[in-house]
Amino acid sequence: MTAFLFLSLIICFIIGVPIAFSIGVASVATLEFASNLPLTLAAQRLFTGTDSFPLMAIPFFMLAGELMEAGGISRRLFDFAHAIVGFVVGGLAMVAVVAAMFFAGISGAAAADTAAVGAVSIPAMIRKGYDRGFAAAVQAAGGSIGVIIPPSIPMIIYGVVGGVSIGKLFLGGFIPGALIGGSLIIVSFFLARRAGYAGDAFQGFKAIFTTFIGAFWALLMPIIILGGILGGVFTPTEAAVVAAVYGALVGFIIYRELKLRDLPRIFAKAAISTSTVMLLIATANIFGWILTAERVPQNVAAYLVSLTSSPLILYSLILVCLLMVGTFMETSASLIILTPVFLPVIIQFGIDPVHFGVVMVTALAIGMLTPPLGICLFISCNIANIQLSEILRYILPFLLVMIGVLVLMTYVPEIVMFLPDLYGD
Amino acid sequence: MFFSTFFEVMDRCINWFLALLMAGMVVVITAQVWYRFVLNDPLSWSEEAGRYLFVWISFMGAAAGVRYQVHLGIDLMEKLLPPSLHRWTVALSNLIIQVFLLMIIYWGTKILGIVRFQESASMHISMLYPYMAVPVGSAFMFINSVRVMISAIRGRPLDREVRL
Repeated sequence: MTAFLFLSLIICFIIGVPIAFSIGVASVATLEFASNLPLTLAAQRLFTGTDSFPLMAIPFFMLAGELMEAGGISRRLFDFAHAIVGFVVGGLAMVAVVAAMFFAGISGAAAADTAAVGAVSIPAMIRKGYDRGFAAAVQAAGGSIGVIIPPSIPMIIYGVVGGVSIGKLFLGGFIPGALIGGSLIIVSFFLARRAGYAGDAFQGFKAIFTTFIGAFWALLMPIIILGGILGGVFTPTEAAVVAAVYGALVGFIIYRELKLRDLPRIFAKAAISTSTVMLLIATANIFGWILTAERVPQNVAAYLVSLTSSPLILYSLILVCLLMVGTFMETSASLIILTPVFLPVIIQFGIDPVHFGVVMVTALAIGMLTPPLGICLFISCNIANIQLSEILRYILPFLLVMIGVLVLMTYVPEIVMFLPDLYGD
Repeated sequence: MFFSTFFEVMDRCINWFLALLMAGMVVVITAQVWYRFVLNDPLSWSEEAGRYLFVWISFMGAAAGVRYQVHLGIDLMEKLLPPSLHRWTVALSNLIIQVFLLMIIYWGTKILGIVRFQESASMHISMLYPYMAVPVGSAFMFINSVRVMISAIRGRPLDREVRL
């Protein structure tokens, strides 16, 4: 039955059936041909998969990001970052990374981060004479931080699927996100110096102050979200809806760039992006039920335990597996399928589920920068108007430092766990 | 000509429906926060109402997603095959989706007969209404999958602009 399940899944993948449908087709085919479980339960599990209050944080965070974006926030974050680091050699590349880190604090998706900041930063870099491939690569790498610095939609999915505290996962993402951002800045400095990209003139401290005022309301948002969740005031879903309303108010009242007639389109687009994740969760809810009935997670756990008794080796095996899966599979799909398989083993080895969650999301974020399926690469290439092959030459150094940080945070758990431990239970 | 106008109207209706559901969900959960923290008088029904709106958003949004082709797959065939052959794998992949959806529509309708007599915990509405999202959403996914398949075979892909 398990063999039939995975075989039909792989056939669907190869034909090019969307992943959410592939999972559904494989599950339903298995129930129909290789089991005597009733199919009414499949329809019921589609429903129960989406009938979830914690997952409702996903549409609200998507909406918050879209509203902030329509309110003109990404240009303001870019201007602020430009005032701080724009004058250094390769300044614009650093600005792209810093602005992406700021945007990561209001958006939970790497694609949204890359698209929003890239729309401002990539044309600016090209105007300044940067190579198009380099400009696109910097922005793609910076945008992937969108899922590491909270809020983070992949962390919400991991938290719901694995029953792990979303607030703690969010806290755990802070230091790794900052570390990755920092190392991307260092790499882009050296690459830019070699290519001879000069910085812009320093605009003075007054410019830093005035652009900070412009960006202030966006920078406040992560503090409201995390403060609310960790203070025990809001559930993550409630914090997300507060973020969406806050984003709308800032756009309407303070920035005055958001128009009432833009709202229906923003709402519909947020609903459609949400549903791509929710369809996956719905069909994976049938898939996971078959896996559990077949005791697949337990068997994988037993197999891995028979291979090694060292948590370090186990972690290395899983890390390699995640990096490989991340190259060809979309992040939410990987999380939904792999979390229930890996989590029992992780717990058996005494590894903290919060630590593992942040490591897993970071590993999959790196997968957004690798072909064949690298969503951040695609978006960046689109904005820079270049072919995928032109970005690949430049993305490698960024990939390598990100993998370096990933390895570091895997084997030095304190990097991830410092803030969640500080917060306590 | 008639068909393209008809489907354009259908797309717009679904998009408006999604926008309204989304706005409804924001209002309901914002009200929940407001009543609990500001008025100190928690609502009993808001969480459930929000969840059922969310189920409808998920399945109707997925239907729109099929039309705008935003459900990601692995594009191995697109890379390996010339466009003239690739369109047949698009057609095949949509056929597979359609068979799956027909089964979900059948079993999802069948289950309505069971759940219609159940009552939701806090709003006391028939569970028919939230559960209906599964077969209705799947039916629209089916229609849109057929549209995508036909446009792929004819070599005239649908544009992907979300219009209201």
